[in-house]
Amino acid sequence: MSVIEWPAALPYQREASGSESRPSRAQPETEMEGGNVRLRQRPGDRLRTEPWSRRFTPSEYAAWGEFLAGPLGYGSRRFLMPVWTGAEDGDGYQLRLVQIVGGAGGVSEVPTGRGMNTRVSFTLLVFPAEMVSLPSILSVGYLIYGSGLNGQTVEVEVDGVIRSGMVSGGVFLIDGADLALGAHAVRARYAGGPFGPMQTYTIAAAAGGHFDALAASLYDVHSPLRVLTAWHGAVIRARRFDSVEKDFFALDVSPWLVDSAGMGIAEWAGIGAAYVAKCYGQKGASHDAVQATGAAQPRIVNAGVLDVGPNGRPQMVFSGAQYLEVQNALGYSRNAGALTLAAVVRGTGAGAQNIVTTSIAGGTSVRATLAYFPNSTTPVLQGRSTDASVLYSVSGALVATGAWIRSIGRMRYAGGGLDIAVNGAVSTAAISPAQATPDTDSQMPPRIGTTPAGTSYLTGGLSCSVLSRASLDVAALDAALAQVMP
Amino acid sequence: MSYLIVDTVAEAQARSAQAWLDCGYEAEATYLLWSVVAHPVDGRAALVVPTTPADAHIGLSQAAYDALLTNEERAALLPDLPADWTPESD
Repeated sequence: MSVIEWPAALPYQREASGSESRPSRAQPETEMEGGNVRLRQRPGDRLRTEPWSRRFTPSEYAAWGEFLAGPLGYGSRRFLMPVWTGAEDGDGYQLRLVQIVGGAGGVSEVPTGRGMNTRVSFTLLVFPAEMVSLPSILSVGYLIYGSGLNGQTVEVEVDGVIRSGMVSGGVFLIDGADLALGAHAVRARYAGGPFGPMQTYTIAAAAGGHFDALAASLYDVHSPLRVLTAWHGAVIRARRFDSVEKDFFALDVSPWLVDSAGMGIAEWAGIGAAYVAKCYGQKGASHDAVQATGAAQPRIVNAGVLDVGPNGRPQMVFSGAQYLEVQNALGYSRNAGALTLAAVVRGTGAGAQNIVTTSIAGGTSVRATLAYFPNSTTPVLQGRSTDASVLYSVSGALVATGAWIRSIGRMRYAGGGLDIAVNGAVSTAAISPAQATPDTDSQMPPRIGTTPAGTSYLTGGLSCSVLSRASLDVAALDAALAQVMP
Repeated sequence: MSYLIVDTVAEAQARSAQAWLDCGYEAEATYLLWSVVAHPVDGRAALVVPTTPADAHIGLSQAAYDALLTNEERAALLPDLPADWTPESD
């Protein structure tokens, strides 16, 4: 059924001086024997009556006459029009299905302003809100996310440009990664249908892309949040307790992680748990951090509830036997003048715990490792440039066990030093002699959550890990990490 | 947590992969049930077998989980790894 819409050329706002509206039709009275009266409520009485009056210019009056006689069939048909509801959203007007009481015969037209303009008045019967079918927008960010009717195509107009997507599983997802920070005028409709009211959404600086400025210097970054706007793919591949797997995309609001049909990860997990089988490398260079062993996968949903940190953002939970291994990364520390390892992490374990490690050989020898040693209160960076070198070590500022921290380690092999920055406070030690690492691949890939030997497992949580083959600026990296604190 | 020691890492991984299939699960990004720890020197490997299916991060019943091991394997389970399996590392 085609829907008749109030002409765009005509203003829909009524003059404030119009007479009062009524929230319902009058309820029928039943006279009682005692002389009193009983009112009866009927479902059909939920019809609002809304007087509408406005002065039209000659050109508007001509458009009105065409609308009334043509599409409206002399006022006999229903149409969609934004009407005053007193609602907080937008300008107070919301789209409703309406009808003119009495049709064209109920319309009054009076010349005003010495006959230059015409005041048109009529009374509208306003039908209940549920008779207007519109998709609703839940969030606008690097993904535009909302709910609607399954199988329908939703068109979302952002600043005058239409993007479209299908509704599946009750929700739609439309890419908005190219949207600039700031305010955007957004409205939505079903394809071919009327638009809902225009609303303003503001994309804040914190919406995503926190690492964009550092992207060129990153080897890769792993997080259940989307931190590089150039990455349009899923951020994690999750495995449910019944071992069904699915890719999840990041939103910047709850439910945080949604599948390609828009279902939230906690809803997908039902009453059970879900684990991270893969944390995609957001540089798009196939450096995904994976764990093929079910028992060794960090948890992301517990008993149907997303694992989150104090800021409500998702975290991966490590409980002393979990780790991820970065794929296609045996050359990460090859011929490096410097390496930077960083993480947003919390440690609760009793002993040493590794956070991010890159090794030389398969056994016990690390090139660089960001860890807690000897316990959860002491973040530490250790490493060596050559296989024969002693292990250099520098401890960072002490932290409380279980506190979320930003830990940044820089091995400056060629610069002769190593630094650790804990929540921005830098400690430094020397490497002597200064020399780049050898031109050889490692035997084992970098690991998140344990050592090359499979010891000193992390107990706690991690929401972001960063690998770089450069000596990254500590202040810039710390500022980026600060925006993804879970 | 228990440990099942086998001759090689490859054998341990094959056993872990078979246990995954025995659960009735598809082999996707996840295809191994239990972690494998390699001996630092002699080439042997140990399967790390959690006590409960919840600790193994799967949704089986305890009985179905216990049935993944043969009687011989269950008899060979060690409660802890001997010290020579976990040397001090960096």
